[in-house]
Amino acid sequence: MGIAMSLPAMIVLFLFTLGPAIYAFFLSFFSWSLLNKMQYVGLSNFGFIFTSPLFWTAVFNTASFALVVVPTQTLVALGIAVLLNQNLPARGFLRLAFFFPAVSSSAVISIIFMWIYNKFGLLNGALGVLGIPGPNWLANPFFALKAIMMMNIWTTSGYFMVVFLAGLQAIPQEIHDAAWVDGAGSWYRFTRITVPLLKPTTFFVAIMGVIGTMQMFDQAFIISGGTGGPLNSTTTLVLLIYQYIFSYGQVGYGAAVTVILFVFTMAVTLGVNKWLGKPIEY
Amino acid sequence: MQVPVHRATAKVVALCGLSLIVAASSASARTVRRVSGKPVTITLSGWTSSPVEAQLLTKDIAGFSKVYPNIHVLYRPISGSGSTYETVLRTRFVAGNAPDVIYVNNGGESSTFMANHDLIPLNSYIKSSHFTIGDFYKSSLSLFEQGGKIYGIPKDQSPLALFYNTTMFAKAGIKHPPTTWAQLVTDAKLLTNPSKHIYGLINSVQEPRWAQFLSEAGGGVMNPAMTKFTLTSPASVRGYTYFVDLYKRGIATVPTTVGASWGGQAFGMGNAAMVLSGDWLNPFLKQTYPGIHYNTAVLPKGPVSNVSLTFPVAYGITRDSRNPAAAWKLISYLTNQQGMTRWMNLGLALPTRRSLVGLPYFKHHTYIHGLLAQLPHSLAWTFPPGFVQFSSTTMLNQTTLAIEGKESPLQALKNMQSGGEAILKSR
Amino acid sequence: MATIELEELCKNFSDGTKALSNLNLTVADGEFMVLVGPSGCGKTTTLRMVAGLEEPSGGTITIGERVVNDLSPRDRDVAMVFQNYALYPHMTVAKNIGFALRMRKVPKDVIDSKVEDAARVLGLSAVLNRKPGQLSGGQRQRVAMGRAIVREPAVFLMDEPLSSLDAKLRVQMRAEVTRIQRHLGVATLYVTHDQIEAMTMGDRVAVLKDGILHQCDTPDMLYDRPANLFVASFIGSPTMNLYEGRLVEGDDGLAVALGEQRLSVGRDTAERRQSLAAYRDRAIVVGIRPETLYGVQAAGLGPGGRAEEGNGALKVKVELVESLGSEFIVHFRIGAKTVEVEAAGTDPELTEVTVGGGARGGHGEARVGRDHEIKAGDEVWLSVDTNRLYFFDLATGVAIA
Repeated sequence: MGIAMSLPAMIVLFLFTLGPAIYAFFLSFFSWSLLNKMQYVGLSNFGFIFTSPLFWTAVFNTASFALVVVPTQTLVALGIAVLLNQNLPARGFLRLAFFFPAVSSSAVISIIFMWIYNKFGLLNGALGVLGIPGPNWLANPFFALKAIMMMNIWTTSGYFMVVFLAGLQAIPQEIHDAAWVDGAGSWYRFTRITVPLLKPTTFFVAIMGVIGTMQMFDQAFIISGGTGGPLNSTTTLVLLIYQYIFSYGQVGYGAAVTVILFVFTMAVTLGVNKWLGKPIEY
Repeated sequence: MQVPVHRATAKVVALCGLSLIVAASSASARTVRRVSGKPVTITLSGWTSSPVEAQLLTKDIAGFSKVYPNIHVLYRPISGSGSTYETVLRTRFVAGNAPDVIYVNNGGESSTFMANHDLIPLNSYIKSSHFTIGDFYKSSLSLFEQGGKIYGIPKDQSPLALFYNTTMFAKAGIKHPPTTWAQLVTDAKLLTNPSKHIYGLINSVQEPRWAQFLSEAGGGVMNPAMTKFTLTSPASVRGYTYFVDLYKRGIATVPTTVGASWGGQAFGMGNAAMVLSGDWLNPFLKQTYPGIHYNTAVLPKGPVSNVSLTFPVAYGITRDSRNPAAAWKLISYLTNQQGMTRWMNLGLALPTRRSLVGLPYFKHHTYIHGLLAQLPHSLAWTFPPGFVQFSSTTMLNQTTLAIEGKESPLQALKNMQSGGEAILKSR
Repeated sequence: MATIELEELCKNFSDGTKALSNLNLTVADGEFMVLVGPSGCGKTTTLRMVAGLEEPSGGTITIGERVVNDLSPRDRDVAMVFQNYALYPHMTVAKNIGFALRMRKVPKDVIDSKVEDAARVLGLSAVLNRKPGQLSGGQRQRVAMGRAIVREPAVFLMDEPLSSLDAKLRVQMRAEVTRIQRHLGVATLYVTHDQIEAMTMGDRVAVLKDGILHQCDTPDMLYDRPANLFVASFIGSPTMNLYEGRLVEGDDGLAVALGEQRLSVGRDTAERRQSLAAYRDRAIVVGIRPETLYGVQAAGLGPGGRAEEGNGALKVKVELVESLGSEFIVHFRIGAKTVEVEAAGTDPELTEVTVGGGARGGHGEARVGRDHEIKAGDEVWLSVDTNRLYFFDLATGVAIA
């Protein structure tokens, strides 16, 4: 009877989450262009992927993206959360303002940022005021991915700020009082009391950040027009999967990269869990 | 009683899942049924270069419904830039609800569709409806022909021609647009003024903008049969090096240098004295940059010729169409003499029927003359199946490295040659 | 080692509530001062202001010789024990206790020895390497104390540190805390809502209600000479019985008419309370502590038996008898009007009272020895020690001196 009750949810879960995931694993052993017949090729897809320079470029891009964005957005989110946890006058409005990008469409944000990053756009204009000649952000292979990193940090910090706010407010005020009376200054209290007690929250933010950045696709797609350029500098693993399936017509390659991405993400998650995952007992 | 229910339900769930996997992977499970006489519905899908195109095509189709009241046409354009059309189309194929009539693009899409047998041959329909097929340009039709069978009727095309800003030319005292490669260099030098962000020529370095230089020098990207790449022949090297040098000399540049996303936009913004583009630029300029005074001319002549590229698009009928006869009626309506004339008078592209180049519409709009003159001297742009990524990204990347001086032109050609050969071998 | 002086200390909150009004209090060096009162009386606010966790709206706080109003908590040399202990959950017991010392950059070996000493005094030596999450409530409380002790501060501040413990442990810890404080000899400000803690632990007790100090005195004085009705009814368990009575002239001097009964006012009382005479023929409030109602005689034996000095008797109807094992608490009905203390307002000299009881008469409680046979429904005579009656002005609630 219980099984029958949960059957609708199980079906939905299977159809939309587990099912496609299992299907992707299945597809990685086949060669298929979506239009022709599927052919079993065993592990040769994986062989191709591992020897393809474009794949390793995508790995490098995705890894550097994650390594830069996750710590930065964690720190920014924490910093803003600490600031907005105090009794500032426009506190409610500021929280709304910082959170707003997180609920905006990432496609719209990407398009707006394309204008900001234009060679003659806002960012270079502002840098020009400071006397710095701005580069051609989106056409320069050195800067394109970094431009997306900045945009991503701006977008997601607000969401993680809210998470940190919740974590900060879960720390009893008494502990802060006790530390203050015991003689701890603001910085000492922050580093020795607040940050250690925020470990579960930081863990969540880090894991969600890693998973999100390793799957970054839509911003790279819109900003590079689907090409992953300039010079493959914005080709992330998920964009590569998309290209393999729809531009190269090689669903098998795309599925193989999906499997590899899954393994990478799993490994990193377990790693972060080892470092940050222990719960705090109050 | 829990255990038996559990097992049975699990079996059901597993079966459902398995059948879903099987159904999704076998896309060709349908049968083709011929229907005539009864009212039928067919679907037409294509991309839209602008909202205007969708409106105009809808009007055209409305006329069709008057002539054939039994056939109801559902026009379902697929919006989105770049390769979104083909991507969405593929998913519709897999899902089993592909449209009856589709746009078939150049650049390798036609060869891919034909190789996968996704289009039905139209020879029998052409014969039985006495469709005048001899009027079509050989170069356009050849893109949609394979093994003697015709899989698509070219509906329009546009060659690449030289667009030039008449105001800038007049100011610089240049009487007429360049007719040779050497003149192109001198004119571009005169017209370039980097401090004002003005350049002689602005084009992205994608392959369909420099392939013709190789042919004009007597070489080419591939041999006519498309069985091998010829990028490293001396003629090809000469053509390619000429093109790359324009950029290295600073008299040509990429659109992003001036903050534009494509050459046509840079031209409209007034940053480019010249741009290599097609008939699609005209409605764009009219709509977005009406203040630009320009004209078109044939491409400057290289060592051997001034041959250009042309980009035909065809209508085809998909293999799973349940009403191919009705679908053919629509295609015939849109692309016979009267149909194509109607379409040409909307000013969106140039004809694929030789007999229509003298239309009053073209006579009246003088800035199209350069394009029309280029039409007979153009090669249809195409690739074998499997080269979409190579042609759109790899060749672009190599050329970018070349114009930035990070690679010699010869090295770039060598890389592209080996890359292309590798893909050919793997197919 | 220092004294605490609070002068005209006030605290108003942003919504207008006056949490504390003009508190004047001095805690001598080494004294254990208890702040007691019902919730909302301002005791915790006072403590937090002394700690520096809240800013006073007016008045000064002096610790030792220094006015500390503008000093941050870390500069005031105070140690605080919090109600929920506020231990640092991610640090071991040893690190918790040594936290303040580590911050003052005391050398490590000194920290270790001080922590060990404190642990020995508090019986925590075995758990020094555990985290607070692994300790029992009592152990956590002692760690909190250890953290305060090891600082050797000028002043201890304790905010209801025992209220989270179970009853038995609370009794045990009361003695512990008192012992440690005596041993260390540091001025201590201790907040509690439990009057038994106040009475047993404090050298002096300050009774507060609604931000006003009603009386600050030794426990004995609070018990014997409550300044007003509020203090009288707050101190003592069960609560003092309060009745409206009339002071009349009796055969042997003054007497109190309670309903239809009379209690003679003992001569000692009359002598001690000189102003009582002025209330002749007027209504007053009479207070009788339950522990001074004893000696039960079955009804029907006539009033009092022997009308000895200091012995009166009251006839009551027993409603309920609670047995504590050592004694009975007898709940009764008496034909007199009870007096209940209302809001104290902003003036300790003006306590609003309500007089009640209705047709069935007022109620009361008595503490009576187990050797008496008594059950609900009985009508009995209770002896009253009339030398230990309390008298209050009916209008102002102030004790009649």
